[in-house]
Amino acid sequence: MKRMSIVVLLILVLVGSLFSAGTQEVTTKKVPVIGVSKFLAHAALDAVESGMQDYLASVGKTVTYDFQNANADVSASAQIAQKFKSDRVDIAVGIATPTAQALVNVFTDIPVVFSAISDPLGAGLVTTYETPYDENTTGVSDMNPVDAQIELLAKLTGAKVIGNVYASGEANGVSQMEQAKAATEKLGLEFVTAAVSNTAEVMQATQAIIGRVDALYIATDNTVISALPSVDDVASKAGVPLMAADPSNVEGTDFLVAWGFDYYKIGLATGEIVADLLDGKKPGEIGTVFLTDPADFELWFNLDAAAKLGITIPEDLLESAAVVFQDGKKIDK
Amino acid sequence: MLEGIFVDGLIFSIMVIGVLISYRILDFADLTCDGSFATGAAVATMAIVQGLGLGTALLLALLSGAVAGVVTATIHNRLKVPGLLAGILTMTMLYSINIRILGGRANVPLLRITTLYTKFPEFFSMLSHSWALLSGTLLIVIAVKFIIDIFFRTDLGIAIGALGSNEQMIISMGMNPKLLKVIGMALSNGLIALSGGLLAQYQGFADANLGQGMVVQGLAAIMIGEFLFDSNKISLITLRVVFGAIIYKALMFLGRYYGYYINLTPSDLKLLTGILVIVSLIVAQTRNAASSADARKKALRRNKERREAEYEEANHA
Repeated sequence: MKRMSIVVLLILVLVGSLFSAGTQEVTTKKVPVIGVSKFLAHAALDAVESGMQDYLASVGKTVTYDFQNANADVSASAQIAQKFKSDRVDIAVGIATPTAQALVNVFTDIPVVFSAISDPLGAGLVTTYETPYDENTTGVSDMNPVDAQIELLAKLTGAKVIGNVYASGEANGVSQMEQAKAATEKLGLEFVTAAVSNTAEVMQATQAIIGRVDALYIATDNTVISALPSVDDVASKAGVPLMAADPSNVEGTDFLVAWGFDYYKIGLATGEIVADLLDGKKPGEIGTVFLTDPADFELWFNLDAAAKLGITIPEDLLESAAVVFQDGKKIDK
Repeated sequence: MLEGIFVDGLIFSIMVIGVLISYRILDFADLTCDGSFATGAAVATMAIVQGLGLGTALLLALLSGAVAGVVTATIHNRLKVPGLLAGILTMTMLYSINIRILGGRANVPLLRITTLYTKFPEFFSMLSHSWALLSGTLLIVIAVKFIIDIFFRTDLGIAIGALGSNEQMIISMGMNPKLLKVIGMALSNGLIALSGGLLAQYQGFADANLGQGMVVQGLAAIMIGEFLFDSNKISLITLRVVFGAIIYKALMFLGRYYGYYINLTPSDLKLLTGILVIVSLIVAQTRNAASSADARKKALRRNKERREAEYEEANHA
């Protein structure tokens, strides 16, 4: 019984601390608080975070950040959303699908900004892409220009069969695979896929399809991009050209071409939305922002890999490239 | 605050009761949990999206988890492999099945759809939003706890409990331990999946990776519960599991909340979970050692008294 009373005491202390904490938060309200819920620490997602901060700093907004990270633990995203709710943050930012969904589920009054979401409609974050609407969500989509990427890869390599390794456990991996499939069908090409559930399977999955494909296309799913060196290893040994949709991870590999988002710029666009919201704009007026300006994308070529594969890259494409690798050196243009 | 700790903790506690049945009552190191939790979420979500109704959704989630448990127990029984391996096998297979259930997608949203957690505020309209969610969840947890308490007082439940402590005794009583394991595992994973089905509705989506790391969190909650008080009564054991689950969630929440004062970053929380389990184990062990030493002393004293009494009786005679 003595132990029971200790338990009761413990619970009382806990509950007491909660209520006292709740009242503390109310009084400290001057600088707007921005709660940022990131699914996991990852090169691209970190770039979004810093892009957003840099933009807000550059336009002279003084804000306080509360950075939270779910450590890729899906069930933690709801808890982070609750934390923001009890903290009464002014704007909640969700980077990556599960954390953004948890925020949208909890908040109905304050604006929720999602970022780096490939398919906001499919993820249920917004109900329409047409503005204005009266929901409290807005954000930036990082939908890859998959069609254009596949077209470029086919044009460069003359490939008849395009291979793709994707993560079956990631919403954006699956949706990009489906888009790539549709794109190849439109061009009359064959499409071969291999699904993985974690980074350790990427090597084997690539080996399984490498003999059947003329070129490999890797989209922006976190799992496969994290294991890009394995894909590269298999592809370069087999002499198959490799295209990656995310330039941020290709350095040091024998990729042929990388063309995709600069996630830092997605962060800047996210920051712009946050700044607009702070200035009193309604989320429904902003809607979902898609980056379409070619300047938001980066085109990278690896001329060493091209030479090895016997592929010549047209001059006009080289002109528009942001980064070119030649003789093992990185040349920024 | 209220929701982040108590609603989350109560939903979590149903899963922990499931883990308790496999780990503590059946003595079956079961990792199916990581898979069946997500299965429950996936089944409930798809059922709700298809418009099958909330009750049906939760029932289907419960059944899907039970099937997963039966599969694990059958692999263990028929192929004579350790429970750990059987659980890992089922968990691995469930990853693919979960994505199938979700219709080939990894993530299905439940946003702007009527779920149990949009119903609760309507149902308990006299309460504020948070309290309504809390009351609804509490009712479910009390119902589950009550049913489990009753179950483990029936002949079948007692037999399952005895199986975990002494399998040989069950065999010599003429009962089939394999069947009991199947029933126990079905119950355990059914509860885990039910909890997954509730969490999906609470957080607004089902995700293929939802179950990751659940077993460890569940164990942490059980250990914290055991740290609270000793008992071998089933109603108190399930009660301390519910407390343990809430305290675990509270510690994680407070870690997020006040962690930065001591330079704790959100990515340190997994380390915190591990340390929590180890500390609870150490405390429980020291206490066990102390209580058994105490018991021995008492036994010695009793012996001595008895001997003295006998001696005196002999003297009188």
